Amino acid sequence: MSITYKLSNKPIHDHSYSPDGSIMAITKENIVEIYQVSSKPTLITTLKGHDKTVASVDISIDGKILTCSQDRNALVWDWDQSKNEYVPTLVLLRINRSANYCRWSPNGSKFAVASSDRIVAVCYYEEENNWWVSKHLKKPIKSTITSLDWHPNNVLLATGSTDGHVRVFSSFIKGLDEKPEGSVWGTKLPFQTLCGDFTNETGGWVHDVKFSLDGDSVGFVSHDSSLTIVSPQGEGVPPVFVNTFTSHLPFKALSFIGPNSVVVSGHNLNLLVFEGPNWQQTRVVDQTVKAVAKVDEDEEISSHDALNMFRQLDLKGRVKEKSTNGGADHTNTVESIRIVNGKVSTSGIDGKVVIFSV
Amino acid sequence: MEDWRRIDIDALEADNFLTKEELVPSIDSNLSLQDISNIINECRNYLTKGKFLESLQLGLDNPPYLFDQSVKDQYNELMFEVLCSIKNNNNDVSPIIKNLSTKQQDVLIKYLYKIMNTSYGSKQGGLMLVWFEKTIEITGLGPIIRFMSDRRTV
Repeated sequence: MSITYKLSNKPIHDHSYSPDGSIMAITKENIVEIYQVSSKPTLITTLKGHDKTVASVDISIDGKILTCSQDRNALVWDWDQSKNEYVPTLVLLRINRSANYCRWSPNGSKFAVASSDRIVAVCYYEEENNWWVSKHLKKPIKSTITSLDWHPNNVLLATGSTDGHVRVFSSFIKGLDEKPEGSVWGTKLPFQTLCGDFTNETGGWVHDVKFSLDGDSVGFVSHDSSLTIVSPQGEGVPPVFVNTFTSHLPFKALSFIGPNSVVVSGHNLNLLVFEGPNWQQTRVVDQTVKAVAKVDEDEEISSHDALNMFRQLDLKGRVKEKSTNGGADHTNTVESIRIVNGKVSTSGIDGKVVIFSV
Repeated sequence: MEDWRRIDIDALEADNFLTKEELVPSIDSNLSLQDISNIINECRNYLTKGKFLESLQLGLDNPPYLFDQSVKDQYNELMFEVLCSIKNNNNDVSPIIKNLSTKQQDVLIKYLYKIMNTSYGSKQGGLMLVWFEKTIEITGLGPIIRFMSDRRTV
């Protein structure tokens, strides 16, 4: 089942939910709109602080809203009880080009901003000055970072870039983070340690990257219409690398919904499920739904109605409306996928937010 | 106000760029120039024996990605011959395309685009378009996207 909300006639590049799913933030040109989500989203307030298109928005586990924009800035918005509004805090990103993508770390103590300046800024709060300062992940990145994702351990960061590489870095900040336990990604993890560097055979630019739920694998979608899942096996052993080429238009976003399944969507419009260990497409979410609905329809129809229906078809030459986009709920490119209360939520250029039960 | 869009900010950090070499994808291939000319001969042999599928598969399995343009051009002409010969001897090319692997189908689309861009290819445009149409019917849009995004060019 899916519910569609048409919230804008402008693209929604990114959207995000508070942990309990009651608040939703969407980007709309250079502002961010905050909605209360109950039965229907109602607009509570708008965040105005950027002067160019807002590229990404993320709500932390403690409710702080992070936005970043093509104006090269990021802002952290916190609810001020006395003023009864969201108040922005400055972030010192120190980048010369657009900020493309931002995400809070799982515990909300820091966040990362990906930019076209070939830099990932890892930011944390400095209380004495009341601002967020950043440390830069630079080497060996030499191209625009389009996406990033945090490992559940709050330290490792996966980045996808336009040179077709996915790299996993350590963003360990002394005095802020606890030493992470050793994992398949390594044991000694000072800041800027490169724990993995992957690219698939075509080298198409990466649109989105995500860690698996346990953090032991990383998945990415790139502009060659492929889905790649990489699982490192520890030091000295080559990683398990599964690269699935599809017949669809390229995917722009992916999200793990189980230990062995991901949902992807993008220019193809449909929400697709891929399942491991072979990572082949097993389901089209929006199509299955339509097919089920049709069966119910057929069962309920009486013989009299059926006769009428055929008579109508015969007389008017009317054919059942044929969908032009494979039964998809979105009518233009899907740009972000979020998980909210066990459901999958997507937003895209068509200004819609669609919530699927998968 | 200064037109800041025209400021060359790249000049400030000149060493932080991708070089052409870094964009060449890593390819596990130890084909020598001799191997390539052997493959070309072998493909032609298959054609004269009427082994069309074998000829096409051999050609599509070994594109000379790592060689310079003159070798690539030579190979393009071979692929052109193979494709023309198959079409002229088979009314329907669909069964042959169905027998190709996904990777071979991707490479086929690369060659179709490349050949259509040559003088000899454009004279046989109709023939190439038949191949193209039949292939896309079977494969969907994926191979077109990969032709555009793949760094391994033919």
